[in-house]
Amino acid sequence: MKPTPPASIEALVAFFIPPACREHVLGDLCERYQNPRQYLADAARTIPLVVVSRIRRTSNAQMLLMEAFAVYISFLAAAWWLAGTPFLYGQSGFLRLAIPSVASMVGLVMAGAYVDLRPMVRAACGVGFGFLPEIVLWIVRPDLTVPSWIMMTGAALSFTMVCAVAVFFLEIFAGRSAVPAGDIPGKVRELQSGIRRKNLELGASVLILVFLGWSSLITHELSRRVAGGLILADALYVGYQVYKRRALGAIPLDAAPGLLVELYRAELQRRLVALREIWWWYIGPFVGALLMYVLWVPFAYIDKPQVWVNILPFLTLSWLWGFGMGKMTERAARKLQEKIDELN
Amino acid sequence: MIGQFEQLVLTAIMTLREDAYGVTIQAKVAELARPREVSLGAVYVTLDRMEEKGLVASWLTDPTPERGGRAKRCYRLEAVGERALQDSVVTAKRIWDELSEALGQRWVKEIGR
Repeated sequence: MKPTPPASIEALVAFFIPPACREHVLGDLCERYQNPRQYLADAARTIPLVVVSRIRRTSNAQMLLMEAFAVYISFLAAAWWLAGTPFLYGQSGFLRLAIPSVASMVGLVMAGAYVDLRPMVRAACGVGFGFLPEIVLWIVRPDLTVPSWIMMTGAALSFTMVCAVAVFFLEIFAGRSAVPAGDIPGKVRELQSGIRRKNLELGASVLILVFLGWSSLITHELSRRVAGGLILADALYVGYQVYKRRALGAIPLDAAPGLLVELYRAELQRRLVALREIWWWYIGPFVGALLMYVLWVPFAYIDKPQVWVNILPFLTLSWLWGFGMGKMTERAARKLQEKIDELN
Repeated sequence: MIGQFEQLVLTAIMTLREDAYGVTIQAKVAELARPREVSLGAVYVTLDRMEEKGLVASWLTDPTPERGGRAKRCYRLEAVGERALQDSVVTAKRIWDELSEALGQRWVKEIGR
């Protein structure tokens, strides 16, 4: 009888293989098994390449860059609001905030490869990963940790922004553009099951805006309260737009193939319109709310030009993020249009 | 245009027919690429990339006891993959003809050795 690897070693190797490839990679390694040493060496040579391949397949460089900006901007906004310039300029704040941001990005890449591509799960894993270096730093270099309230608020904001980027772009950039005719019922089913989840994810981002607005509204400074009121109005607008732009309605899966294609095309068209107008109904108001969240400070201290200088890094990053998002939206719209054209 | 390693993997899948999966493809590619060593991981990366490009398609078979009850991921060439391989063969043939005409029979014999 052909020898098989010991269960404990196989379980250890299985832990490192992304679930999407686990079954066949473990089977292939088992088929090549001679002894534990050879098995482990074979696994050590194979698994890194399998992981890299999976990361390449589940990640998009442009999207990751936008997510990195979104995460860092979120932490900056939280630090600016909760701790102000002393933290950012006097206590290496920019560096300290970069640590959880980089860890979150690593988490997002790994979550895509190992866990799930659903925006909410992926964002939660990525943002959760950002807390890991904080725990380590808390033990070895407490002076480099980020204060817990900044960390929590920054993480909540990052979660929302990463979720939003993924809701709009992940599905478009992932996988092949062509959908064979036979796969359309499956695609329709996929769209159906994803619609409620996407609305929920966008709804969660509205709740975060409500939280930001509310927390600004209950403070004593007038300018901050004004900003809070505007953010709440903004949240209402985004919430209404998310509701208005929800799916076309349930698509009957037993419909004739021709009708199914038409309904699929209509759903893709709806998404294309939502994507082309995204600046008016989602990203624009969202970025506007973030700006209101941080800009109340310079407006409150309009006589102190230094405050405007201090906020420049945040404004520059926000502008770069907005520019990149614009370019990515154009690319995503082109890809979606290609998908619609292929249906013809 | 596909790279040399992709050509080797496509050739392996085409010749192995129904039996084209990770282990057998790696063995075949190693045989075709000798004396160069070929790792199983490199074959997976290439298969994954070619599947994304639509050159090959894959499916999971039923689990077998000799693989510890694990399934195999089998591969087959798609029409695009077959065309890409044909194009590569035609180009290689042209190179061969051109060189043998320019450098003569002695050079061809040396290569054969």
